[in-house]
Amino acid sequence: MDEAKKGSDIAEEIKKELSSVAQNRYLTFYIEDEKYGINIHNVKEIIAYMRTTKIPKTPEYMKGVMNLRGNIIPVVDTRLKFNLKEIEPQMHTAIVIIQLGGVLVGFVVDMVDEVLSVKDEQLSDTPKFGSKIDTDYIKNMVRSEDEVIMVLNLDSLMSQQELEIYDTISQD
Amino acid sequence: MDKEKLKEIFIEEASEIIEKLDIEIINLEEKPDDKDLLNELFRGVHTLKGSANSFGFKRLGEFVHGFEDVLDYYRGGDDVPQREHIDIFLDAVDVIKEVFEYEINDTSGVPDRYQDCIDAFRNLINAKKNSSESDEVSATLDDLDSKDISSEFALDDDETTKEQGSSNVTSLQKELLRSLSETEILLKIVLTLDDDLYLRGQDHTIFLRLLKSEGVILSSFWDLSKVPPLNELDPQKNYIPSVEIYLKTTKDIEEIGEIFEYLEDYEYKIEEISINFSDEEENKEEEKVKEKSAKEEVKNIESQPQAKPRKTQKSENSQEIKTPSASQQRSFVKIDTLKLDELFDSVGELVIAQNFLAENEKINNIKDENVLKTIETLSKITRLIQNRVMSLRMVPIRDTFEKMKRVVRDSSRKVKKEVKLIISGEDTEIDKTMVDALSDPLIHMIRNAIDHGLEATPEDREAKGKNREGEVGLRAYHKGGNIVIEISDDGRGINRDKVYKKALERGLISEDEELSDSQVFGLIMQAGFSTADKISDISGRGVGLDVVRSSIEALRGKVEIESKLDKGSKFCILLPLTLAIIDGMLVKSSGETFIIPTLSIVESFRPHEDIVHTAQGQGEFVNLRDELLPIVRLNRILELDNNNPKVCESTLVCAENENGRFAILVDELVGRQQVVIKTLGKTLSHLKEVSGGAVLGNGEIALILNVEGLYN
Repeated sequence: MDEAKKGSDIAEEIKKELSSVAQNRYLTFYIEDEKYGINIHNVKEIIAYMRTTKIPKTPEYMKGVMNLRGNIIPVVDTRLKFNLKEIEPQMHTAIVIIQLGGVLVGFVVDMVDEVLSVKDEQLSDTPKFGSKIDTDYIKNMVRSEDEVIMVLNLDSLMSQQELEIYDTISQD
Repeated sequence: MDKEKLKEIFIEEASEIIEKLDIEIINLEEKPDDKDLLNELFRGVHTLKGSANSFGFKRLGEFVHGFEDVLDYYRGGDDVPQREHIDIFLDAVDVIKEVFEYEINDTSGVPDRYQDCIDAFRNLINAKKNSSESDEVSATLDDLDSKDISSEFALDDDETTKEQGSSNVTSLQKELLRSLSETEILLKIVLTLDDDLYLRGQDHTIFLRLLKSEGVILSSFWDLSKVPPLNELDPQKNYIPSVEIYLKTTKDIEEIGEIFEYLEDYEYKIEEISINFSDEEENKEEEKVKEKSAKEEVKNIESQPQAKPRKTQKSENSQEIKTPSASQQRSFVKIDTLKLDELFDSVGELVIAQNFLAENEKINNIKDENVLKTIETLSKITRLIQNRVMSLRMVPIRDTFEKMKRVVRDSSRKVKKEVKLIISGEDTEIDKTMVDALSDPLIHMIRNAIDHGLEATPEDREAKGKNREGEVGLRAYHKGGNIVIEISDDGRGINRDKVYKKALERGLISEDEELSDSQVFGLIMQAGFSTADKISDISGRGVGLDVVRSSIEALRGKVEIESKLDKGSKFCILLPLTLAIIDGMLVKSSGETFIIPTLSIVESFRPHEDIVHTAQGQGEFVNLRDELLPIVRLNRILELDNNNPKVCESTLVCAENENGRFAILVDELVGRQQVVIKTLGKTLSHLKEVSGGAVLGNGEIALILNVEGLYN
């Protein structure tokens, strides 16, 4: 019993340490030539694109559900979410599994790039124009060498509101 | 381990024990002279007392103590409990349940019947003692060897001295422990000496001498209570039933145990005394109980493994509270069902991966016998694992059925009917989560059968040429992929006309509806329906059977009713084997695969053009054997596309839900399959047409349709 407790304590510590490191690391990926980043802390895993099952009566950007080792998780087509045109899955198309408030959600992206460590001074606020997508989805910008990476605001991406709406409907 | 956690364990184990008490008492009523049963009951009560006291639940402890005394009386003697005593026992269990609630919730005071029950215990014991004192004494001396010492002891002396005795011992143990140096341990050795010991050429002093060479004997206690006056003493007989020795030693318990190697298991017992005194006392008492059972069944090999490990078992702290109620023949491990679910998920993936291998063309093209053989073996093993994992969730329905005995007893008395409960198929296994949810509906249906099903009085039954005693049957069996639970009675039967009239009155049906018998009977399970002329305490408020129906439906089951006037009625609950798996029909619509639960499908067919009708503004109907079924186009209701395939070129699946029958229009049937149900998660739980998803053999997901939500 004590040992188990010790073990979990250590695990907790490691987790904390990792998360403090992860705070400043971002997974970057491409959607239609633009580079985006997600805090790696929220990324559960990345898998190759697989066929999803469409769920009736859901918004267009809800690509459907997929089978992740026995668990059924919803998948969002990030292109459609950003009001870009839908494309056929390509060789590099991937699904990034993200943990959003206790729920796993998959996001389809064109290509996964790298994991980037970012210093605080590289971060800057979002300009109100210039991107092809709704700036509400962008938390801030990262300047890295010659590139600009848009860090996605996960809360607005699959907003709490949306999750809650589903919740209240299901309670009725 | 913190206190809260300990308390949790206590509550869980105590609830388990209390739950079993009812059943055991009822069984005891059937077989009052079954000492094993009584012992089992006693052990449960005893454990409960021990743990209640160690948690400071004094009210519970005291009450259970009284109950224990009563049971101990029956345990020790030849007297068997009569019906009125069983009544007291059952009342006691009710009070225990209440006190237990009080203790857990920290409510002050005691339940109403608390004192009454304690008084009843006392009266019972006093009455019994007075009436049988003389026979008891002679009996104890005559068959000394066949009887247990500890219970004898409790009978001869007042219970309180026994309690005091054991607490003295603990303070003694405390004292002895203080004398230990760090490398030494204190062992308590109890020798049980048979009365023909000397005739067998044994000498217990040998052991004392051997022990002395291994350590220091600090103290020994000789039970002299059985030694008769000198003029009655038989020098060839041993009158000391037991010796208790405290040994201080640096050797470990196993080494000391070797001294006694050639003794019978029941003749000696060694345990280490550690710091925890209060529990020590409990363990000691516990052992007396165990010891007794071990002795009684010493020839019964199956009880041996339980007796053996106890000897060397170090008494640890109180997380070690025993559950002697667990079956004696098998050992069990408690597993969180969540872990089982996880295991189940992984196995599901394994099956899919295996299917993938088995269906892979490239692999199948390999003309190597070994490869193919291995694949074949793999698929066999996978299926085996899947079945075993499935069976982990399954438990026999026995416990739930046994609980019904009490229900029958109580409610038959309340309505003054004579009822016999006949149980069969109690070994039928059913998903654990389902067992828990089945209890309440079953109780209700049993009560219903007794109250409404059976004739009003035994005389009424006789007038009809039946036995005075009404029969209520409870039966479980497998049928197809389902489990069927039947609740039957041989009573009045359901009066079809009466039900029909009532349903009309209540506006549940309209006059022009043609209903089959089973449909009419089904009406009695509708909300707001009650045919009982008199509202009784037990049932008849008309809120019951519809609750039963909805809780059965929540388990994805359904209720079917058969009845013959004056012959009786039969309620059949059809349930899926498990909540984790569903038997489904795979159908295709607009290129997507969906699953319709087979349980809600009546039939499927390809309609002929002639029987399809379109009613203006009302949609389409199909005339199936003179029944007009509305057609629900799956692709339209799920908003998959706007196609309008011809009805006569599609397949209709006739399904049934709360609102009646309807026909689901699909493109084609794929086949029937058992699938593992998965939730879609809360983000998608608002969809009323879909109840979940299932992973198909190819790894893709098909949605399971919720038949209730498709048509209303």
